[in-house]
Amino acid sequence: MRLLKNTPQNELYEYICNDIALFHFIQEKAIDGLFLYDIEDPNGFWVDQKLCKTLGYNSKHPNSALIDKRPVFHEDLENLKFKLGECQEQNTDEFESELNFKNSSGSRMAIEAHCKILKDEEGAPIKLLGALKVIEKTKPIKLEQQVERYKHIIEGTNIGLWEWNIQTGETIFHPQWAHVLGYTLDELKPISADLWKKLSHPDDSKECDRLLKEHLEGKTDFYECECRMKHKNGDWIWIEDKGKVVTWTEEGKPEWMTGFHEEINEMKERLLLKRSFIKHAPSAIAMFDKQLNYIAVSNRWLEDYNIEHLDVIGKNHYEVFPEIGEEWKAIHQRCLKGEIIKREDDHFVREDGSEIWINWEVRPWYNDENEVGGIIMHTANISHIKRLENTAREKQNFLETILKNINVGVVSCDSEGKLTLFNKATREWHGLPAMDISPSQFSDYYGLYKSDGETPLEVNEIPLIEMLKYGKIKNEEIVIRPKNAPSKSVKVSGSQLKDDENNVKGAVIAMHDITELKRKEEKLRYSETVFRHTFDYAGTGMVMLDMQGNWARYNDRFLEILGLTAEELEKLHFTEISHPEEREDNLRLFMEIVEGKIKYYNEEKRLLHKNGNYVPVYISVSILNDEKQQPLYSVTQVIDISKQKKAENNLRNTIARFEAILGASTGTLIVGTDTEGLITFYNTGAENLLGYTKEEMVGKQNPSLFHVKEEVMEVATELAENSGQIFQGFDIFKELVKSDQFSREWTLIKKDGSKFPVQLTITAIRDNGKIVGYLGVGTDISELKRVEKEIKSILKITQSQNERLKNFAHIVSHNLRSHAGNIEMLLNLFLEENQGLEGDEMMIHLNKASANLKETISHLSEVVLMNISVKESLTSLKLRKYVDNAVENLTALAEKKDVQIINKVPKETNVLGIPAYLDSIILNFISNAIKYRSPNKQSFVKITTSTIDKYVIIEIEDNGLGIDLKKHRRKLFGMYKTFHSNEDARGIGLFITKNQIEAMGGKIEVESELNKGTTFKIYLKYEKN
Amino acid sequence: MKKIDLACIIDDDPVFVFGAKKIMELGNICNSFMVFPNGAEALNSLKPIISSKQKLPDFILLDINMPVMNGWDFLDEFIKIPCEKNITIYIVTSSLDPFDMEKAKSYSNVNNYLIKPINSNNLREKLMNEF
Repeated sequence: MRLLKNTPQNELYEYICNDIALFHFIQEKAIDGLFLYDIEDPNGFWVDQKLCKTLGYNSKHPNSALIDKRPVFHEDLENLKFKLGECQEQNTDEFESELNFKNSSGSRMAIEAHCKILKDEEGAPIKLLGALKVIEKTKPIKLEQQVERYKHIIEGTNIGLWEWNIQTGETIFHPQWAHVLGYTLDELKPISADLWKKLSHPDDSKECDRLLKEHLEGKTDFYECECRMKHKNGDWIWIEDKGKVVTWTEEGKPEWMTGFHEEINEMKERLLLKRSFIKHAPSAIAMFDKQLNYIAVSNRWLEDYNIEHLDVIGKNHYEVFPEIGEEWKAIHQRCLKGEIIKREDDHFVREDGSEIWINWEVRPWYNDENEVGGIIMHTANISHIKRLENTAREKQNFLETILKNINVGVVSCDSEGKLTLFNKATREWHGLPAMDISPSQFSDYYGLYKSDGETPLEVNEIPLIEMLKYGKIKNEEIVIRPKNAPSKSVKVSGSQLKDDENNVKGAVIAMHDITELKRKEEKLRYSETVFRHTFDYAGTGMVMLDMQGNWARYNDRFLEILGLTAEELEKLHFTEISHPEEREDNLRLFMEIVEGKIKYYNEEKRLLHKNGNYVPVYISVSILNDEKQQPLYSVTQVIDISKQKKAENNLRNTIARFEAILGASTGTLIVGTDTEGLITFYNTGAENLLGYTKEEMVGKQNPSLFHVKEEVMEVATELAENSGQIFQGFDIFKELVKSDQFSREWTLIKKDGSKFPVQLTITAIRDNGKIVGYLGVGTDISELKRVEKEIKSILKITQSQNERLKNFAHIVSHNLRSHAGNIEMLLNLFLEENQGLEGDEMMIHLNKASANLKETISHLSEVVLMNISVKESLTSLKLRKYVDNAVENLTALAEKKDVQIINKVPKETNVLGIPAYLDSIILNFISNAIKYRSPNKQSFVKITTSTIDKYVIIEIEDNGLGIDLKKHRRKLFGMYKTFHSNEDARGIGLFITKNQIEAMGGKIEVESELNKGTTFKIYLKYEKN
Repeated sequence: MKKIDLACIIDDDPVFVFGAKKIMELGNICNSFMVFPNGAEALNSLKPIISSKQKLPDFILLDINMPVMNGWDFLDEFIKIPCEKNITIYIVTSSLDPFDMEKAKSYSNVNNYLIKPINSNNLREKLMNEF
């Protein structure tokens, strides 16, 4: 049952509660504390507060944390474990052991432990309880015995022994120790470590502490110290103290130290006197013993050799200066033998590389016994003087070399202005050496001028004098124009020469030759020759105006543009050649250029020509700055653009005209696009037809806006079939142009959504052969379409009428004829049966009517039959045969009427026709010609042929009565028309003939003049053999 | 010429039939007639006559344009009937169509092509060559 916190204390409490014997065990054995060791856990070593106290810790001790862990030494813990094992073998649960614990001062403390094994319910050991009792305190028994052993020996000497436990502070002083200081040991009681401190000189105790510390840290074999201590009589006496650590603790810390001290007062005082004397000597002196160990040294020596940081006393000279060579060692040896050696200046190099110059003397010194006790060296370190000398000399050389060789003029003067330096460059520039003259003569003598190269410098303007007097130079740039050397531009800088008290002792100036620089600058600014050339002979007019607007420079071309001479121009201000409307603007622009508001401008202007006209010009104005970026000139380039202007005007007019034409075509749509289809041109016609305005279209839309998508897609499909390529968007139109399908019918959509058909022609607009755009020209064909539709319906009507006509023909050819035939037949039968009635007037008229009816019907039949039956049955006919035939038939009639028939038809001409018609046609025309001959002339009729294309033209020419075509042309070939009061004229011939000709695919033309004659031209289809 | 015993007129026009009979009677060409108003009736009547070897007409006046069966169709049927007697066939029509005239020439049995109207002199003249 666990109710308490799981801590070792509570655990222990539980054990005690369970076993009262444990309580008695603790009471009896745990006098100085107890521990609890967890067998399972190697770190589980717990100690109680009592043990802590025993070991010198308190609960607040910073090491208390460590206590919890391992206050016991490792080997002891191993021992515990071993014993634990033994117990288990022997089946006991108690044993005794000695353990070492670390106390608060870090040293071992042996403790007797009564241990009891604590077991769990199963009897397995789990804890070890230790009750502790401190074993009696240890004592330095061994040392005491040792000291005892030497006691008698030491007592016989004059040295005072002491012993000191460093760890515990325990001290043991021997009576002699006290005697050295004039005391008895009893007088100094209580004896402690503090006693020494109390009696020693505070100035020395620090040093002693330091030396002691070094020894304790094992750095020195002995502790050895000289110090002053207070004698009983109140004097400070010099004591030499020596000692050594003799025992150490187990951790290796020093424990016991033993030593002695003795009085060295007399010796020390003498040495100190010498040392003090030497130490404060004003020069570098060092005193050495025979082994060259330092006995005394002056501060100066330490300083000179840069060894102030070292305590050289007692050290060997050769250790301090390892670089000292054999030569010096030999000198030292000679001196030790009594020689005195000196040297005025000697140079030697230290190991660290620094150089030393010394003036030295080495001599021996003699002790009380008049023997050489060592040597005294006296040196004067003259290194810094030497160094200064060298530096000064180097500097001098350096400066002299520079001054001689650099191309910078250097001149200096003293406070009186008297020249003290005048270097080679300066001499060369001035062409003469320096002269001892007063500053007022400088300008004249040395040729000093202001930067303009004209004005001589006043005395106070001479840079050297300026610098001397005012500490600064106003004229940084001057010109040296000597009498016997080329002039130079120089830039001057300088400074005053001052002494330590800041008094001006003179001045120095440096002059830099900037002649070349100036020249280059000039060249750059004007590019003298090149610039002048380009300027003066430029194809464009060029003008430079200075900042006041005066003519600074202008070229011939400029004068040419204005038609002015230079003299005439000079009289004018630049604004006076401006167009009055532009004067103000030009002046403003000029001012802006001058003030730097604008850097340049390009504009078209008009300039006044001498002849009073204004010349259109293009001007570019820029600014020319000097080296300080100050505006110097405005530079204007003037280009005469009269010709361009004229051309531009022409072009504009042409364009205007062209646009007017395009605009005027209000019924024709004209739309221009760029190569990608963007509309660039859109005329009034397009506005009218499409309903979109120019503003809506140009630069914004593509023709696809007003095209029917499906229709364009159909075209694309068509193109794809032909070319195998698929086109999209505007490329479809491009491809149409490319494949020569410029013109086709399109349906366009108006803004209001209605559609209309156009015949649209697309062409590429080319510029130097390159396509730059496309132009579509379209006409609204709505009307055309409507007419076409109308024609189609008319054709349909005609066809049905034709059909009816055919029926009519049938009626005429059959039925009508049948009835007429019957009437004739019946009439003949009636007269046959009733002989004698032929003379009856009624019968005469009835006969006549019947005959007329028959004839009319036969004419009608002829005409009708021709049209409906013969077209397809044309055969090749020999024309000559038919003409001959007709002529033969008419020969009798012709002879009778005295008409000459001239037959010029060639034998080989064939025509396509129907034999009966051809007979009838030729007979008809020839007989007509005979019929309508002129009674007053020798009449003729001439038949000739010619061939045109697919036709044979048969010309039948007569010199007969002729026809008034003006009156009759339209009726000439009509039915039942006669134009002559001829008894044979029936008015049916030409009608039938014309119909026959046309039935055979031919045509007829007529030329005629009254009383001159008529020529009929019959066109028949030509059969090529 | 010798007088024709029996003439056959095939025509749907009663005026023509009357006239034709009158012309032949007056011209003393023939006094006995068989008249049919179309090809079909003529064929129906003539066929049994031929097969029964009764008296056949010597001469046939045949119109072309007729209802039921026209002249051409009649001809096509009639010439198929084997007949020992050589019957003279004249086509009498008011058609001036050259097509009809040409077609008539293609029939060897057709002896002549007359265009209406006919008169006795004319007909007699033509028949002089046959009889």
